[in-house]
Amino acid sequence: MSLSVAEKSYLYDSLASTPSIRPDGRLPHQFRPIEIFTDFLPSSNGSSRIIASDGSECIVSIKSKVVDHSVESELIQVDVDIAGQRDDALVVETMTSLLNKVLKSGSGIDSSKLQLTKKYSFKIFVDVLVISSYSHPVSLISFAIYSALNSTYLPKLISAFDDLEVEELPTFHDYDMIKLDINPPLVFILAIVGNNMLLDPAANESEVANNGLIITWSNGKITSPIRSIALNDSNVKGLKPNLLKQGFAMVEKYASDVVRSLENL
Amino acid sequence: MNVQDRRRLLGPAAAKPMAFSNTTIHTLENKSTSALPKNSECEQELSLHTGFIENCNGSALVESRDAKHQTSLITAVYGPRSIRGSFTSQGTISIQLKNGLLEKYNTNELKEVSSFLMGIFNSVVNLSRYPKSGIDIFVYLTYDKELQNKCLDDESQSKQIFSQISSLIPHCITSITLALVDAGIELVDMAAAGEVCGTVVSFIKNGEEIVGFWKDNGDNEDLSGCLDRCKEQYIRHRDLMISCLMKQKNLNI
Repeated sequence: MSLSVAEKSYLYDSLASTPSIRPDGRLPHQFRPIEIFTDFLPSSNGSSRIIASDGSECIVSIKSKVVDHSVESELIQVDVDIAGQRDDALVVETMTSLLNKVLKSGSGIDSSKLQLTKKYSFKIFVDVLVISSYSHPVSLISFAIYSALNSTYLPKLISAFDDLEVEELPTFHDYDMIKLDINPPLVFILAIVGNNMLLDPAANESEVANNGLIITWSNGKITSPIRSIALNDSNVKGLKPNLLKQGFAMVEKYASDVVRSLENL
Repeated sequence: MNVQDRRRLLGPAAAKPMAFSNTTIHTLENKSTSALPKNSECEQELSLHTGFIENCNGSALVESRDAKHQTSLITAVYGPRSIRGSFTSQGTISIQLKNGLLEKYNTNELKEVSSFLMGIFNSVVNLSRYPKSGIDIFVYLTYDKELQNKCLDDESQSKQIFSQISSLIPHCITSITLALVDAGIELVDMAAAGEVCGTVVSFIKNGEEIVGFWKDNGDNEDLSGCLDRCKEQYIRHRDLMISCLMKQKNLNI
């Protein structure tokens, strides 16, 4: 979206005023409506499709593989593909690196939940395809990953848990599946305009934002990674330290509502 | 000093700037300054050099060594140079971070850091002064080594696991700021940063404004304490940069 200088100035003034007036009439903490469909890919262990009201759309597929966890310590791998961007584009690689850190086993995901036997674990492959995006897609992707992981079913183990003494490969039930019970983190994006914080900025709001914040929410608290992010090239400025605290407080206040609505899918 | 107007398409590549009779030509010497802070937990030695690469507009070398690791970074700034295509009312910055001989970091992690650094320098460089121009910054990570040290206790060893790329970011910021100043590019203020246990905070304006925040491990506990410790490091790095640049200026007079 390309706004003229006058449009940008008008939008900035209305967003920076107290209280802020967003072009679509939302409150500062209000998200745009989203539609989520889960479990629609028959060949994946879990999948989801998320569509935002501005037409941004993202598909996530979850697949799994049995690995020896003493050899492979990282049990979740995220791969991001954004339509119209090369695989080595800055935005794609940045997103991949960030989401891998968000879902890193240990801090983001409890790796014991993926353990099958004393020797083997499931390794989860999260493939993200952003079909179209008009504003920063990180929040949308994270919601899609959350709902895809929550709709993931993995094969049921029927062989013994202790396989260190007896050398055997894990054997699975023919058709029984077990729901994956992990609590994936969510990522929120905030735009900072003047002294105001806005959750889930739309494309036009991102274009005039002075700065942005990416905040991860896991198990009822803010956790790493947290980043400041420039949402545009032209209007970026420093932020006052108290705005950082204000942003954290806003996420702390409203994140549990988002988690609840995603869980009720 | 380069006296060409950098906002326009320039003449032939071999064109030289005008030299007046009373100016003396200085040979570019490496100017360095180093400091040994007293009050930090692990003493960090920093060494800064500027203007040692001849074919770029500005360059800087930052070397740091503390109990945990040793790092060396070279930054080269090319520009502002004119860009092709349609008119842009302000300059654009591109930053590329490259692994050195040690292929230590993933490409996507380095790209994430470079996009974070671009966010910082978009707010630090006075880009409206450079319409229709591009500023290209290349950071080359010559050396980055974790040191095994006997003085490390268990706690700091566990922190060391998380130190990773975040410990590098403050040095990248110092090095880019110095190289930009060396290139004569107008900045809003000298940006520098501090790092505490995987949290990097970059400041300007004497610590009153944050231009970059990066947290890689831990929860959101003790934010104020973390900000204060990073600010201390920021002030130290900034003062060191200023003294390095003042020394260089005095040498040039």
